[in-house]
Amino acid sequence: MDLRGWLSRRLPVRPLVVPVPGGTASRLAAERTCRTRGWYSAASPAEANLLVVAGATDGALEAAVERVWQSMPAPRARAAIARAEHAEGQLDAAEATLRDTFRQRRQATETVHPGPEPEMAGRGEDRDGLMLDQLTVPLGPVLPEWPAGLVLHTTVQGDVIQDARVELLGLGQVSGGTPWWPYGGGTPRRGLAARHLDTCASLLTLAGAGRAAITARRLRDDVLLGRPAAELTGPLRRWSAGVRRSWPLRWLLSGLGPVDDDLAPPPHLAGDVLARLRRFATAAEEALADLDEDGALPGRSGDESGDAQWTIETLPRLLAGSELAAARLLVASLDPDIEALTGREVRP
Amino acid sequence: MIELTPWWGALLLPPVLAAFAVAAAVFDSALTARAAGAPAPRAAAGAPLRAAGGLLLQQRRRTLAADAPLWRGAGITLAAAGVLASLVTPLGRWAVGDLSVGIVWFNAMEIVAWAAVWLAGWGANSAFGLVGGYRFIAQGLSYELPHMFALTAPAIGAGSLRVADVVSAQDGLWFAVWMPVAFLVFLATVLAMAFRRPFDHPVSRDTAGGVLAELSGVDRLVFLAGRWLLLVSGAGMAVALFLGGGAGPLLPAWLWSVLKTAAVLAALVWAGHRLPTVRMDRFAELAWLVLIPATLLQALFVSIVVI
Amino acid sequence: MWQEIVFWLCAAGAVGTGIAVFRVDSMARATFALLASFLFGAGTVLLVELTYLGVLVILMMIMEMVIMVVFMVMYMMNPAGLMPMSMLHNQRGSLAIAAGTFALLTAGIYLVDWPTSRAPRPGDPTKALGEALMGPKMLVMIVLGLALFATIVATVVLATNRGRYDRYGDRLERDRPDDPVRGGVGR
Repeated sequence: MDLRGWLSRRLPVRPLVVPVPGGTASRLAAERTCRTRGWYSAASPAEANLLVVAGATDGALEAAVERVWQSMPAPRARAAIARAEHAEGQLDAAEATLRDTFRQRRQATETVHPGPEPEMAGRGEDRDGLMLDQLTVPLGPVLPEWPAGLVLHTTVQGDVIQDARVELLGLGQVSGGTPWWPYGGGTPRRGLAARHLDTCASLLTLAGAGRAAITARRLRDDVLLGRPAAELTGPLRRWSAGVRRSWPLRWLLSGLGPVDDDLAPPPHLAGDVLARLRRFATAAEEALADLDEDGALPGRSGDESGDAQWTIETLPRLLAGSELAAARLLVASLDPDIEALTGREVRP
Repeated sequence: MIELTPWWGALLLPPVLAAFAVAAAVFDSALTARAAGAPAPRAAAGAPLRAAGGLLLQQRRRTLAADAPLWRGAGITLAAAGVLASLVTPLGRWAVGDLSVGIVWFNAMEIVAWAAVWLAGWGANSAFGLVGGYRFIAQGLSYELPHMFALTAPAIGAGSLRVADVVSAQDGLWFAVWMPVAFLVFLATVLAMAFRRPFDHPVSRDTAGGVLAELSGVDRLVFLAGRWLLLVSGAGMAVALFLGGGAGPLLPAWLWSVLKTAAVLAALVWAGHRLPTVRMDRFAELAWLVLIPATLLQALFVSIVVI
Repeated sequence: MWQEIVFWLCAAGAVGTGIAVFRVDSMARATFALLASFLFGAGTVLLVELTYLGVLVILMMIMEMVIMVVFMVMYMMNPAGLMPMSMLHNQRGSLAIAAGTFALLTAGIYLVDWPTSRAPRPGDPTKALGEALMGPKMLVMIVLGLALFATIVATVVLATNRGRYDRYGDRLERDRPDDPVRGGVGR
């Protein structure tokens, strides 16, 4: 009996979705397809068996994706989703490759998987004045719940970030200042509600609030697929109220990643992680109130590129002295839309 | 009364624990599938076994400059800790081992998990793995003292460290009833020692899976199995120490033990789906400012009642 | 018979892993070799039926070694941590000390006229030992315990570089403490 083939046919698919600037639509389509098929996303290349690249990559980003691919153990397959409407077909094809034992046998030739090698960067004083070893650790561009195209070159001691430098990848392929929301051909309000829900979903996933995160993703997909507003109001209001009133989230997120007013943040990014989460949850609900109307957009300044520019300029200051977990939550709560930066001069 | 099984009881222990572990994993995956709106829950029931099969197929990963013996040994150590901790846990009237200091033995074997998890994080030579390892040690230093005091309460109540004595001391009234604080803290710390959500910060997604970040194939399978075994052994001990062991009307004692253990396991898994991940900075504070005083007061209360 | 086999296994294991501490070139391996050596030592304690002490040695040693390895990897290095390092320092001196201690202990074993007892073994040696040590001197032990605890608290208070006056202000006037990470229990 062919045990390998039998197991291969039953193997659960674990996708690792790599977001690429300009590929938001592809990413959303890929995430939706994976979710409805019951493919839970992997946290690392070691766990993944399907690499999904959502968008067109170039140069340094291409090299980073290739490194991730090299570090994935067989059986494995990859799907490049250049256009959202091809997502289902590409994922089908990749799944077939994954379950094909003949093709997988050829995959399993490389033996050493070059992981992210930590690099010593000498020693320095930590935040309590002790001399400790430092490591240089790049965060991104392939990391769960991480903004597309962002790389933070950090110096860490233990799990405390001493110093961070921003690099942006993959902006060459983006065709001029695409805002997040034209996806799906819906109204701006639908796009905005989806954007808020997407931010909340990443943030809640990192906070470990799995149920609320999954609900946010389902609502996001429903909003973008054009489900009538009347059907969405109830579930969205319940979700939003649940997130805003949850006392465990309040205890865990309050006081984290504070953005003080002297940094002159865009109004919707002020406060701590909890304040931003609550603000986005409320804004998603408000955007839904008249989903298919035009008019002023709640919860965003409307200048995505300005917000993203402020975020990448301020991140190094916000991250110095921050613990890794807090840093991840902070970045997710600011959720800069890197692809919006193509229209302007980038000064990381 | 508790009696020792013949020598082959020790051979039966791992499969019994594994059966509980599989059942718990199936329940966990059904809960996940329901929340995700994924295809039928029946498919979810097979998911853990299919995932295990998938891990058998998967290549074992090798990273640059990894400390291979320590790294690969971590999973086996964790699984061994889960099984050895259950050596003194009775199932109905039978126990594989009956040490005079059974409770301390159980505690010592859980601590083996500290070494195992740290090694898994450190051995791969990956920054995220190392951070996961640090987080587990911080978690251990936070949960261990409340856990020990929660174990102390039933030991004082029964006047013995022998698990059999603790079970028989609950003839009239389960310890869970008059030591509720110790019981709840014990359950929470069992989740923490098996680093299940809400205490899954050492394997959290923000560090790409933490100590699990670089593990693949059979290494990952053994490590994850060890984690479930640890949770099962904690649930089994909760039944023996707080829920009267195999005591109950009508049904045979072993069946009561099985039912109670399953119920405790289900409650633990369910709680994990309801609560967000507790980060170490917050948990350390909660443990030292709230849980330790609470369990100390519980132990004091129990001591006064016993005297 | 089997006790002798186990004893010699433990003895050889303890010495072997003890030697390994100085043969491996990594801080983590050295620490875990030392841990293995302690665990073999705990095996011999279990053999003389001091169950409580034996299990306690296992428990404490794992905890201590794991905490030690974290501190080692984080603080004490260049070039340890993620890189290999040698565990050998001051070789000649330590060799002399080790040989001297070994000779002294061995001489002690063979030269001292160890007393033997005809009294029957107590049922629970750990309890008997505890009572013999503590029974008549309980008050002393309690005072000692308190003194130890007070010392620990005092050391921590002296060592911390941010006390409550740094957090709440010189007159403890702040409502919210000024912490590197805000938030937490009751805040």
